[in-house]
Amino acid sequence: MTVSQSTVAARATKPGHIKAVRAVQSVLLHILAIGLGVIFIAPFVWMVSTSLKDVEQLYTQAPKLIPNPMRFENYAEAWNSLPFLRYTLNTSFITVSCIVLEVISCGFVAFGFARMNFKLRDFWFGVLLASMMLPGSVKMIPMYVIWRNLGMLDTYVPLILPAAFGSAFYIFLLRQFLLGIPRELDDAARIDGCGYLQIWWHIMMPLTRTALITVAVFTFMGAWNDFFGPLIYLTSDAKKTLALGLRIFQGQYGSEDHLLMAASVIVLLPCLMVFMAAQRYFIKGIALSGLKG
Amino acid sequence: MRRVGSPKSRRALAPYCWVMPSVIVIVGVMGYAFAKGFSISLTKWNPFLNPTPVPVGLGNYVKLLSDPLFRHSVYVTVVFAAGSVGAEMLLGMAGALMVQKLRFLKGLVRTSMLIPMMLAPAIAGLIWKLFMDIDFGLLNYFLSLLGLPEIGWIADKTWVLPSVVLVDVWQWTPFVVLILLAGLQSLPPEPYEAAEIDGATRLQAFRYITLPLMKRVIVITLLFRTIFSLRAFDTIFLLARGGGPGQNALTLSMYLYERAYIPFHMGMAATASYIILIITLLITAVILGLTHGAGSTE
Repeated sequence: MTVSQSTVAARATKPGHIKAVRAVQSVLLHILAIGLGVIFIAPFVWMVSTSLKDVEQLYTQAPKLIPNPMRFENYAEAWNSLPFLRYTLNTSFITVSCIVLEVISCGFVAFGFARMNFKLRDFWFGVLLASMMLPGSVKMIPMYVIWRNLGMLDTYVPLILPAAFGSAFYIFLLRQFLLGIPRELDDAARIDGCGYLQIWWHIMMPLTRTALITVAVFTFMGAWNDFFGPLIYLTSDAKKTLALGLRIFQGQYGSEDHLLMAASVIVLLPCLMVFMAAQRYFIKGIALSGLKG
Repeated sequence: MRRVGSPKSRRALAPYCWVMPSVIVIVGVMGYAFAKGFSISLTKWNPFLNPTPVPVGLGNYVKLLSDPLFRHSVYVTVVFAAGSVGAEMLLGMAGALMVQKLRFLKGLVRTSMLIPMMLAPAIAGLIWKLFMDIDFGLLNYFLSLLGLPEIGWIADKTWVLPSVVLVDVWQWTPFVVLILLAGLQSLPPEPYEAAEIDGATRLQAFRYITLPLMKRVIVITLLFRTIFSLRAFDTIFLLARGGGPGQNALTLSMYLYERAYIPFHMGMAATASYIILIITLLITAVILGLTHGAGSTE
């Protein structure tokens, strides 16, 4: 209280010219920040713009941002040129399964690491983190051999089942988050007769909601956009995913940029919506987990 | 809070039921892959031509390390990682600080800065390919508007590496902004209020308050970005297949793909993955060594 009062006092006694300098700085800051924002969003905007052009507008010396005429038929054309509905359903199935499994398993394991005492706990946690260092390319051949021997090729199992065991980064994130929740809550619940399982499900899962949403969003983006997993494990056409579909589309209509961009926007749209809906949660989710240790 | 008596043994076992299934599977799979990969790296194995691996000892390692193209790709990878991660950290810090200080349009600017994160690398690659087209690309159009000479971008020997760095910076700076922004938001306000009373400039506040408090977050972000940029593949694959003109964008993972996976030299592929792993570990150790103790002026 005293600190903020003295700050107010300090601000009030500031000479006028410092205020003016600050105002100019603030304007410059806004211009710079907006400029940076524009640069980052520009490729996306251009993608939407290209997806609405007709062929004549694609290759001109002075490209236009807003197409005239706008050709919305590009979307229908792209959508109908391949079984995109099938791909969307397949991808949704994989993505939703991964999210459910990942959120539950990571929450579960993180609770164990954050709240229980056992021998070599920090050692096992370290080993788990170290496993992130291994490049995917080292894993690729051995994993393929394992799944082949289990007869799981051309099924969704190799794409979904690993999520049931969690992944090191998300376990790390959730553990950090849980460490910030006071232990008194656990103790109170234990006195009331709750076991670990009840404390986890009824107290910790709701309290870590923001961090769980973060994990869910990251899992969503990872699974939805995954290209190599489906490429390696799925062979039959009916099982393919959107990322693969886009690749096939690129092979067939590679020179027709407007259709390619329309197809890309279609694939991207669900990601965009999830991201918009969840972004404030996941900034908070990462902030509270603090990555602080 | 260990208890005495019969519940003790149950309590002592419970933690293992919670964490061990996952740890065993994750670490087990990694350990298996690690060992299996290493044993493959000691063989000559083409699943189609000679289905049984022929042991060659460290032959693959010798062969790779003496291949000038491989050494070139180590160089390319280090330049790529240093350039992109360096730019991402600086730009990401600037972006996060700016968004933090904004009074208007904060949400909109933040969303715009984060958008590239959601674009699948495959889609990002497609867009940038359009952007970097020599004749009809937007980048060259802007250059010509500014009266500057046009650039060949990914079709040019000198520009291909800077081009893929540019795309990587565009795609991954948002990740840095996100993590650093989250870090900035969890800083306590008191030190800044005290600094303002003491008449510290913003630069001083940044140097002596923000940096030390954020050190951990910054180092973790730096490590993550470094580890992942050393194995960057997707966008480079789309923009500069085969390493691009003059193979000047031939990163290690591109080398691995083109020289080992495609011709089915599985032994070579495994060997290359191991060398990537060793380089990653070395660079991680260097970063940890350099950042240890630095900047903590508290």
